[in-house]
Amino acid sequence: MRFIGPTSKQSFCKSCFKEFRAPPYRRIWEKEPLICHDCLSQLKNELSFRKVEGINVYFLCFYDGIMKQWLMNYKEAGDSELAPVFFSLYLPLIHLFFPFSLFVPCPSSQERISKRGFDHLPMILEASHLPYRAVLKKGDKEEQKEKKGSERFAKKGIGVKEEGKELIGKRIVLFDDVLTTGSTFLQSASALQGIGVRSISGLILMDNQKLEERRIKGSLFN
Amino acid sequence: MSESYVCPRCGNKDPRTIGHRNGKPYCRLCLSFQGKEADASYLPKENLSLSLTYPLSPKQEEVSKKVLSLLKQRKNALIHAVTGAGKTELVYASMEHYLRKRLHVGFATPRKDVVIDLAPRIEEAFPKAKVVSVYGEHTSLLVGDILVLTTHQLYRYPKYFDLLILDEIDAFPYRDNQVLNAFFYRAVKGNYVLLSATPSQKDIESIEKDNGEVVTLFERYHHSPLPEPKILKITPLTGYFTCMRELRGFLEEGKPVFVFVPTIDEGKSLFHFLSLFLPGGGLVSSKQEERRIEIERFKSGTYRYLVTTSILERGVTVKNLQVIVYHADHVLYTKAALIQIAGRVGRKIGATGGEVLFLSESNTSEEEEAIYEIHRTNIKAKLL
Repeated sequence: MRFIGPTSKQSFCKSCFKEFRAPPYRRIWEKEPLICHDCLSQLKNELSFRKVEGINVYFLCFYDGIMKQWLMNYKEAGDSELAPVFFSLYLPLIHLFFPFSLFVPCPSSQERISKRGFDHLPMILEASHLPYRAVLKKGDKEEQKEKKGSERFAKKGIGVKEEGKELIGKRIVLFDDVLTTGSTFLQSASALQGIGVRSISGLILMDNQKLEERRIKGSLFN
Repeated sequence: MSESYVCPRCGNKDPRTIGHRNGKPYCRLCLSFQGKEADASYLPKENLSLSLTYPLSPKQEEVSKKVLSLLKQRKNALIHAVTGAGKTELVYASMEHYLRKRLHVGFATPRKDVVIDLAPRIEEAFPKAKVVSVYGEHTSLLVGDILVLTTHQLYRYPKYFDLLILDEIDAFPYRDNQVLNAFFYRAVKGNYVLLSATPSQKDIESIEKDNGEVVTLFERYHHSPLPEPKILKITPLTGYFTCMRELRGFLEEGKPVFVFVPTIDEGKSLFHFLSLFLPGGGLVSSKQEERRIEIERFKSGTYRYLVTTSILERGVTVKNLQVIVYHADHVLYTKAALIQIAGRVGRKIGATGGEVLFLSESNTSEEEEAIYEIHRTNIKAKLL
């Protein structure tokens, strides 16, 4: 069911570089369609809320499909051009579920930021023109992924920067790319709660939380 | 200005695929090709030699010598050899020549399946050589006396190979892929040899322009002609029944069969239908990771027939195989694809006959050209 006609705009896909025509409904939903229909169909959408230790978190996708590929190319290979792509299909939903909110990205270590050349989470928020404040900082030096499962629960030294005081009394949406154990996410939430924000919700690109984790974190029957 | 940025690795100039990071341009096409490069100082063992346990046919010998003489003149070669001609064997003598001089020899192919199948065969031919295969998720060892690798992995070997052989130049994903092509040519320090049963006019022209010649081999090693496909007309309503009827005919004669389908979905439908009447069949596609097991089951006789997508279009050899191409008029079936499919039949001595049926609603030019070319090849080889 493709309404392709003279009103469709010719663009080229930021993911597979193929040319495609974006029908009018896509231009209404996305303003500037960046991804072709074939690539979009490879997204494994989740699009649901779930409580993670009391915090209401919205999960966009499962840790699979083309979004996982995009994140890998973006983070590992350093393809920063992909920054606007992550939210491109979901922006109207994000505006709908999180009105009057400030987005706060979970922190990355300074070491990783310089290795990569850019701070990947704020860049995604910036590219999608969402209001954000990168007020969290991380003191840890080790690579998260290389740790064993049990070590991931260890403290990461996440705290709020001085400028974080601005967030007192505000509605916050904590943003991270992947949620596996939830450790980073919850410690970040904890730090923000500590300074007295009005409320905290969560926005996660990809859900990697296993069933066992959800039982522990109290969201299995949610 | 970004308009004039040319990627130093893959030569990409298209500004739409050039990104910017902190103000600096970078190539997005070859970005995913990142990883360790091979150590160019590797020196192959001394006194490596070819040890072939079976003789080549006179025509194979002729081609093998011709290619070696081209390489000695520092020229490149494109071997246009029919399916089942024994293409791999045609380059063994050349490989030995370079190995004796302790130079770098590589054998590249677009598909990982082929690398896995080929490495043991090359090991047999060069028993004292260290044959190393390099493909996705199997890249811990990058150097050896003879390297067998996917075209994707070539990015690790800039100006490395004194002799680089490329098999199936028109197979996916190599074909028409600018980045893979660029990495191939970049990997060649000395000369290259291209192998194909279905080279395009463009392929022939580009090698002739690049200090190379085309060498042809139009007959199979067993000297029997290539099976010529027959077209069977089907209608949308009767297609499945016609397929089932022909399949049953072959199965009653005890012959194994491949039923090719253009898409995975059509494969599922057709397989479902066929298995209602004819048990003992399997379904394979690129989507299945365990397809090697299914293929083994077919080769061992557990399955009597396989419904398959183009994944089995190349490389496979099964004795006494018969082939039915369902919907041969589908737009995905190019002349080259149909020739490759037809080439699955009659590859073994003692079973050089076999049938290839194209089931189609309306004859496409691709079908007709494929049949015509196979026929003409047989005539050129003086086998008809």
